[in-house]
Amino acid sequence: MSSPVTFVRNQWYVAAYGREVTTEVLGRTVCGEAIALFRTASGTVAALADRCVHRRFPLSAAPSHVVGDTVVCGYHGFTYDGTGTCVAVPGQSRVPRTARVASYPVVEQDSFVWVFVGDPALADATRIPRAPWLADEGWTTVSGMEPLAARWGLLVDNLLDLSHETYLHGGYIGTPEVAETPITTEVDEEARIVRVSRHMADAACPPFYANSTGMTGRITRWQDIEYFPPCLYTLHSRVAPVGVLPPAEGPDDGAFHVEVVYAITPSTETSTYDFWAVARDFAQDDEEVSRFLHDSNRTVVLQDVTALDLLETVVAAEPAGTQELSINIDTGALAARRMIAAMTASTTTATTAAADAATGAATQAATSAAVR
Amino acid sequence: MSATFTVDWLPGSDVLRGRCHCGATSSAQDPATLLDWLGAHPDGHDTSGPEVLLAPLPAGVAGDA
Ligand code: FES
Ligand SMILES: [Fe+2]
Ligand SMILES: [Zn+2]
Repeated sequence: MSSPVTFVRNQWYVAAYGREVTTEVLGRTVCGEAIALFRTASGTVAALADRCVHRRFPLSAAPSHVVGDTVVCGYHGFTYDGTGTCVAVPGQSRVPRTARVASYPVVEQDSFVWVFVGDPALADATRIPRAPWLADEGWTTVSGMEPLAARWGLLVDNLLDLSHETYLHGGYIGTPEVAETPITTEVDEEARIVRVSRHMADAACPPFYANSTGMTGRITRWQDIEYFPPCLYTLHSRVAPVGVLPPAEGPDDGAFHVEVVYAITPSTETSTYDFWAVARDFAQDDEEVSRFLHDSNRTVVLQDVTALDLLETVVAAEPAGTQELSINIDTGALAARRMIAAMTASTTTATTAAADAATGAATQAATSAAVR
Repeated sequence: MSATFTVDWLPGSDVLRGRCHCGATSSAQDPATLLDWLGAHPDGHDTSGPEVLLAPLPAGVAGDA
């Protein structure tokens, strides 16, 4: 099994930051589905299939535009409300009963706009994983999004194995200790969380933390990843002067805390939205620190983008079944791949089983997909 | 009951130690082998006997590698 290239349906995905969704229509492709996002006059976010039912013109393309709570197609003026129902057509008073576009369940939470891709009847907003720091008063956040010309599984591999920081991000966030320090992996199959921890007791302080915290000596550096497949990745990063551990009780105020959040949103089979955010609980009003962390993290993300875009061309050109070689550092990424494969298989089973119950093909496909 | 399992990389060694939620443990030098064993619960998970030592697959043969 290699990096997943298929999509996991019936899941919530980050389509945008809330700040990106305005009364200008925004087009995003999520899991191969073109979606038009806009904010209605009442302030709520609407997510509609980005194809007008009339002649298929994209609702996200100019001169399509928002009027009040509706979007007007820029080709002949079909007008849709936030649920996708066509409420007006040009030149006639009767709107055909079938005139509607699909709408996506939407939740705006933790600075993100989440959309549910799959059967809307299965959308349960309580299942959206949380990243509370990104919209919390007690934290200061910098964030961005970089498009990736690579399959989403390559970004999952990348983020679950931070040993690459030492080699790919040296001089920014990588130091020798990252790759040298053993990891602990924990897999919660029921809650569907993969956790990977790497606790460095005595490590060099990389510029990313030295310049933002002011620490100059060696540090105790903890990286605790929680990945909620498929979309949300959080890295709880704790840095402190060497030997400073959290107290048995009370706030851990001898340390600096950074919450690094990624939303991994598959766009097409070979492209991905790489949403990244860095929240901190120190130097909160210091704009220079904000600028530094923004620029450094963006540089680091772009180093990954360059590497993964290259890797995509390599992987795409290779015959199916080409082998990789995994070692201890890959435990978390392999566990994540397995969880994703199981989720894909169960979705496939649910969808195919209804259409195709008689043949038993669904069960067979699910079983073989789950093996590796 | 929670279905959580863990894989610890034993410090100072190349050994990975897996612990299933049922209490069974095993060790391996290859993560795919260990994850196969953990994912197979309850097959081969015996909490009464000695710890299972999973033979590492030869390099280049590892199915999931
Ligand atoms: S294509 Fe949209 S109104 Fe004609
Ligand atoms: Fe990276
Ligand atoms: Zn077991």
